[in-house]
Parts: sequence; structure tokens; C-alpha cells
Amino acid sequence: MMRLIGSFVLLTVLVTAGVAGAPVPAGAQKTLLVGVNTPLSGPAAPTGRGCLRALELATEDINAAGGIKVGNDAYTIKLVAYDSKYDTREAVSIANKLVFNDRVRYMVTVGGTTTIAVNPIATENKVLNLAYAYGGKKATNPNAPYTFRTIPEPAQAFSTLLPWIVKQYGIRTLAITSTDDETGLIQAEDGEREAVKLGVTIVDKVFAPRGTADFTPMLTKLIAKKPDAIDFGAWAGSDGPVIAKQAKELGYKGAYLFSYGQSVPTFLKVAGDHADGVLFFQIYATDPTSLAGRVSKRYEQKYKEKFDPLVWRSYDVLWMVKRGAELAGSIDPTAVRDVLRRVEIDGVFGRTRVGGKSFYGIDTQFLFPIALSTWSAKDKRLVELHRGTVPAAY
Amino acid sequence: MALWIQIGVNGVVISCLYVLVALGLNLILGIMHIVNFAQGTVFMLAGLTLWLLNVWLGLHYVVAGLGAVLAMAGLGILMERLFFRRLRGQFLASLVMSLGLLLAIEGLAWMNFGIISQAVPPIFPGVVRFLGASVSWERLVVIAGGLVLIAALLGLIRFTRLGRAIRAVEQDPEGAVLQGIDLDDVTRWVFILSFALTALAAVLVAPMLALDPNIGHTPLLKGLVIIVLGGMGSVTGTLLGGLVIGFTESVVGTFWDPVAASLMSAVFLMAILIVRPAGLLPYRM
Repeated sequence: MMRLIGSFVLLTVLVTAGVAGAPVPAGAQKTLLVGVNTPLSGPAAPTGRGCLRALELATEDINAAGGIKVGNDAYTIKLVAYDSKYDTREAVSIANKLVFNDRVRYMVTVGGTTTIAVNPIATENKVLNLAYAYGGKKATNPNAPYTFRTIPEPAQAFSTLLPWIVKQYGIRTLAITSTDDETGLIQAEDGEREAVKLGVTIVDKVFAPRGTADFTPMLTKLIAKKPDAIDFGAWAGSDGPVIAKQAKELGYKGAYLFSYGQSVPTFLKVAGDHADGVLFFQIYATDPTSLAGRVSKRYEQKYKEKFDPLVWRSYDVLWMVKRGAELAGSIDPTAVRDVLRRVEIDGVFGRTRVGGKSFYGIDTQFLFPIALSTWSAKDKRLVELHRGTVPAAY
Repeated sequence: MALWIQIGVNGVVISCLYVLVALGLNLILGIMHIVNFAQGTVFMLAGLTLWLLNVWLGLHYVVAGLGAVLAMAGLGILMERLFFRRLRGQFLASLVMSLGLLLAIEGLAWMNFGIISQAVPPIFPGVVRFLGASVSWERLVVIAGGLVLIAALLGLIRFTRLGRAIRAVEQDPEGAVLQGIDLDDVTRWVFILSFALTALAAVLVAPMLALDPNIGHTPLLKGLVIIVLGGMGSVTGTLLGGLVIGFTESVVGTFWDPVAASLMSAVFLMAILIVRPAGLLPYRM
């Protein structure tokens, strides 16, 4: 019996030693896990799901193109996604799960408040956090060196688009309403700052929780101040179209500024013809590039749904990571982080780069051309009104 | 002047919506002594059933609305028979049961409808302008429909045989049984009425809202506040409580902000609980 046990132990040791000592073939195919911390239920779900689908399409394209090539290795990307419900506690729990259970070194976080909550985990564990988020300097700053914002913030959108809007629509007074969370407050601050710079008077500001069913009392208050325009701050998902519809029903005739990225299909489904004339920041009426056209076609083929232009915003993210890793010659998040500010790609919106030090104190902001579009109920189509670019020294 | 008319109309619309849901809750509370948390899911399910029938199957809004109300009345019969009848008189057990149903139904709704908000096309488009105020036809329909439904329910409870039976059971269940009233029959009808009222509220307001599985939360919460404020089991108290909450939200929401409006409603509730713990108009079904 003892001989049998001894033989088994010896065999185990030999097999283990053999495996451990076996040479790894050159040019091995490896997997890079990317965590996705995104709302897939609740009012923010249209945005969260659009982001996830963009990442899925980019993953397929990058993997089909041979993956991320670092030295002799090629990494195929694999996504691990969880539903944050746009809840900060849930998002923190998911970030911990991604970092400590799934062992990801790259993650995408959707949402401003959720990104702010997740940042310490990303920083402490040196995980590159690619944030589909607003949240201003609270979300991206020198103390969160691993967090990159992949979408234009209101700060960039306002500074690029508001001068044109103010001039074109003759706006002298502005009312602001937004969600009463971190994202909403920062969005309102950014809008106010840029508007005041342009000599616009802020007549009133009102904040309310996401999911508010009836906006009419607060809209009645704002409309009574007779503003030339209302900026609808961070109202998005199903809240955005509901508030637009209710404002139209209350007879508001001024300019409707939706400075937060909207899911246009959801907006049109809920608001219907009340979407007429609404100004959508960061929405492109036609394919901004040929790559964008290919992405939208593949989206409709794969998901059997009308393409949502919001999806474009997350398509370039993994391509930037791929280019960064290949430039750094490593998939180490710190190495990739350090080279990302030198990375430029021809993305879905045109030239995409990283900058933002003049505003945030650190170059962690993805920058690309920003469009302003409106919905024409008469022609049943989006019309692009203006496209602005962020200054080179931004 | 125009501002006050607008505030008044906003208040009446909000009140009508909350009162219809609260009446449904209060009927069950008065008769069964159950706080039915699943009532919010009835509101949500009615809205989504309306969307399914109207948008997906292409039925006319009125037919789809009728279908949604009948479906919810049927759900009321099922819930009463399968879950609540055996728990009659067991306050805690029925409370837990209703919470369980709330979570289960919402979970199922998220799995089937949750990702994208749905919308029912407006059936009464356009707005009416008078004295500087602007009110959509949809909101006027909610007001008219709400008032008709409230009047119909009051009439049913005051003047019909079923209404007398409901009042008898609410006042003294044992006495009612001794008078030959079938308790099971009455509770079944109470569930039907309660669920149908909530479904009608959802059908009326659905074209004004984006529909998703969370849509029943606010009406449920406000409904609970209203029945505590007005008096548990009291229909007239519910009407009064609904008007107080609706107009508080409208006035405070207009002159201050929506968060302050919710805070003010909570202050009213606490004050009433201290001064009149049984509510504004208790036990007057």
C-alpha cells in the first residue's frame, strides 16, 4: 500500500514538474479580459447596453484582425460584463468582483457617479479604468491616474458648441435643470460656467432625482422665468424624452438643449413629434466617417435593432487600448497608460486622441470632433447643425 | 394668474393619479388588512400590457386599455385565491407575501421588458390653452377619467348591494358573515375592483410616460403615504389625502423644487401621525 502511495506521489511530482518546465510556444494566443461595469437595467440601460454592444463589436473586429500584438504574443479580447443598475454600491461591488475574482486589469465603467466610486479601486490595483462617464474633475484628475474618460464631457461639448448656439439662437437667458446626483450637478456647473463666459444670464436652476415621473411642477417654475433656452442637464434614458415632452405640452417655445448624450431611438419613441427642434449635443445626423457607417451596419445586422448613434462613442475605446499596448510593447496597464497620450487613431468620429491637461490637470480625456444635431419631425430625420473641434492645446 | 391655473391643473392631475392607486390599495387594506406592496406592479403590468396590445398587436387604444384592465382584474382574482385568501388576518405574513410578489413580478418584468423603455403613442395629442395656461389633452383626459372613476367607486360603495357588503365586512367581518355575506366573495370583488382601478390609472397615464418595470414605484409610495394621511380604510380620507399630496407636490415643486415637495409630503405625514394617528378622515368607507 505504501509503495502504491509513494508511486502516486512520485508520478504527481514528475507530471507537475514536466508541465511547469514545458516551454511556452513562441507567438502564443493569449486572452486579455476586459471588465464592463455598466447599467443594463433601469433608466440608464439604453446607454449602458449601447456601450456594451459597441465594445462587443470592437472586440469582434480586433480579434478578427489578429488581436493585440505585443512582442511575439497575440491577445484576443474577452469581455466580462455585469449590470451596475447605475447604482454606486452595485458598481463598487462589481469593480471588486472584476479585480479580485475575474482578475481583470482593464475595465470599462459606465456612469459618472459610478466612476467616481470605482476610481479608488482602479488606482490602488493599477487597473486601467476606461470611463464612459461625465463627473468632471471628480472623475478624472491627477489623483486617479488610471482613469481615462472616453466620451466628451459637457465641459468640452459646451465650450465647443455653446458659442455657436448662443449666436445662432440669440440666447441671452438660460434656465438649467438636471439630475440631483454628482453627474447632474457637474453637468449643470459646466453649462453655467460656459454660458456665463458668453454673457448669458442664468435665470433659474432646478434639480430632481432620476426617475421623476412628473416634471410639470418644476418645468412650470422654469418656464415662468421666460428663458431663451433650457439646458436639460443630465436628464437621459427615458427621463430625457419625458421632460422634453412635458415642456412642449406646457407651451415652452425656447431652445431645448440636451447637452447630455441621448439615446435618440429611445427619445423619439417616447417623445414622438415633441422631439422636433430639440438640440442634441454629440449626436451625428449621418455617419461621421466611413468606419462609423460600417459599425452601424454591423450593429443592425447583429442585434436586429435600429442603430443608436450613442453606440459609436464606445467603439474606439478598445482600439485605443490595442494601439497603446502595441506602442508600449506590453499589456501592463501602467505601461499602456503612459503611452496613451501619444496615441492617435482614425476612429468613428475622425481623429481621436487623448488630452485634457489644461482643464483636468492630467491627459486622460479622449478628444474627437463634436456634433450638434436636431430632429426634424417634418422630414422625420436628424439634421446635423454644426460640428466643432476641441482646441489642439486642450 | 396663468401660473396659478397651471399649478392647479398640475395638482389635480397628480392627485387623480395617486388617488386611483391609493383607492385600490385602501380597498384591500380596509377589507383584508393587507398592505399590498404588489399594487405598484399591477400599475406597471397594466401599462406594459397596454403597450403589448396597442403597439405590438396593433389593437386600438380603447380595446387595448380594456384588455389591460380585464387582465389585471383576472390577476386580482388569481392573487387573492392563490396567495392572500389563506393569509387573511395575518398582517405580517401577508405583508411579506406582497413584498415577495413585488420582487418576483418586477424581476420577471425586467427579464422580459427591462432594457428599453416603451411608449404608448398619444391617443389625444395636442394642448389646450386658456388664460395663459397650457394643458395637454392627455392630462385633461386623466382628470376627467379620474373624476369619473372616483365618482363611480363612491357610488358603487354607497349605493350598491356589493358596496354595502364591502362596508359591512370592513366594519365588522364576523357580523357581516352572520348576516349572510360571503366573505370570500367580497374579498374576491375587492381584489377585482382594486386591481382594475389601478390598471385604469395606468391606462390613463401611460401615453404621458415612458414605461419600464420601475414605473409603479412612485404611485405605490405616494399611495401608501396618502392612505396613512387620509385614514386607513377610508375612501373619503384617501380623496382628501390625495388632494393634499398632489397639490403639495404641485405648489412646492413649482415654487421650490421636487425634492422639497417630497420632503413636505413627509412632514405632513409625520404631523398627521402625531396629531391624528388614525388619519384625516378615518374609517369612513
